[in-house]
Amino acid sequence: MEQPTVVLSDEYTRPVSIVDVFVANITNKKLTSAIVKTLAEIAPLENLQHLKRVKGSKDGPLQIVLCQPETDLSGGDKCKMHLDINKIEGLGKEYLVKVPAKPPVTRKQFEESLKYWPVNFHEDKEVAALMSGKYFKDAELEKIKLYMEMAVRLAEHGRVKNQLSIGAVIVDPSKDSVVAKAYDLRQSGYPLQHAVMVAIDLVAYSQGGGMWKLPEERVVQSCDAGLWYAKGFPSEECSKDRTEPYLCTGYDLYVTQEPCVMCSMALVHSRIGRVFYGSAQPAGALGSRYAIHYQPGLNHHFSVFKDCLSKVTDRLYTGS
Amino acid sequence: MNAKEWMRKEDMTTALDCHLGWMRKALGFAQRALEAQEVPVGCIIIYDDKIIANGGNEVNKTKNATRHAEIIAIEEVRTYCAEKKLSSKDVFKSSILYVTVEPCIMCAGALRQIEIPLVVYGCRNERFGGCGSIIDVSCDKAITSNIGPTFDAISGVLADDAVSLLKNFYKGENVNAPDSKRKVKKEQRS
Repeated sequence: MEQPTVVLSDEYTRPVSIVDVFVANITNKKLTSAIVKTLAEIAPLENLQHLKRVKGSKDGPLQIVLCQPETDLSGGDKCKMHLDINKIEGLGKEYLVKVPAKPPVTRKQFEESLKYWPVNFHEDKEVAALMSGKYFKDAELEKIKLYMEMAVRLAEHGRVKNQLSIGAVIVDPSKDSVVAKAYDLRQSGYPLQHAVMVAIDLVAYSQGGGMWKLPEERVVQSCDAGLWYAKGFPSEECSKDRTEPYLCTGYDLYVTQEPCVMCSMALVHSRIGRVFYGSAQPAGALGSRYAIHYQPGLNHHFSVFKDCLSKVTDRLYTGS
Repeated sequence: MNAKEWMRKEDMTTALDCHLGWMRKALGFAQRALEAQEVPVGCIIIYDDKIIANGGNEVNKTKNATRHAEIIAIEEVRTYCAEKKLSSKDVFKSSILYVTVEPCIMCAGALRQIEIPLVVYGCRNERFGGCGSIIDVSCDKAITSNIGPTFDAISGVLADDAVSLLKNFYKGENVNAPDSKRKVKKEQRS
């Protein structure tokens, strides 16, 4: 199986954006540190903290960032400099250059940024690994494949029952065990019973809760492709020390198609750990239309991987 | 008054009276949720000038974080429709949903799918709101073909009453959360 693709926010995938700033050449190198000190006081970089103040070059003079052009709301000359540098010794005349507008968060952006101006870069090791295309080891890939295949069987089972071909499996990765298996039920007059919503309710059943009266087959444990949940929670032991599972905390979801906005937010409410899905869809809310898993303002974020076994899942959604 | 009639209604004072009356009923279900130690959000669905379904938050009782008042009320409509031998699809299209707090992103997605034309709510939901507070699912035309049509939303009806119920609830702590999740609060107190 191929490596799943991590679904990160635009912050990580966007190209480097640039802005104009005023810089000047340092005409007297010996005064560099004094100039840096003065500018730090009278013209702090504010939202351009990622820029190194001084740019050196092999043969040319040192350049130093002065400030951003004044933003003139009246629509007049946009390239005015508000800073008076006449009193600072050792500086040449100001001129505009293009610099990266935001701090780089990936190595690719860092390298791209350096073409404009030297910048600070603190690499997030986890993100770097996620984007490397070899995040999952072979053994982990095998497990992802196994659970995705299970989700595909559930999707096919749904189709046989005149439902949409969407299957979902929720797994406890700490025990490598399945907690709930579901397929889509929305076509039988329950518009909200999407596969993910059903799976979440089956997890609730596994914890002694649950809401929907679901078809009987969920109790048939031998049925490979029916609705199912793990029984035996909460045990008396874990009730005592309150270590029983809480909603979907720490669990992984495997689902054949990208969840819609309702299901994605249901996963936020349920505190899901990670989501693996097969095929993206235009109205999807984990990367396509929305990216609920890293939506600013929400109190729970989670990792999402797409293209999981997508060669197989795509076949579920291409007309035939 | 059903949704269609409401849309035609020109007498705004009557409409407002109507909204206030129904919202008081919804607040009653929020109060009930509070008494059951659930997040106090209440909801009713009006069809043919009658309450045909109601709901209060039942997350703790069901151990299912998706059991919001709106979801419960939506499902109750099925029972009503079965009794009256009506198509729930048609009923939803002529209904108004009243809820004490702005529907969350999940519920807004659910409300699009049942094709309800009008939602009236009390206070804003700054943490999870799906009608503009976090994102605006209610009127996003880009997802219409998959999720269903947009719906209109009227906000601010008896918002203060909804807020004071929520404040009452959050004074206490969630007794159903495991210890690891509750630690912070305890430490803060001591």
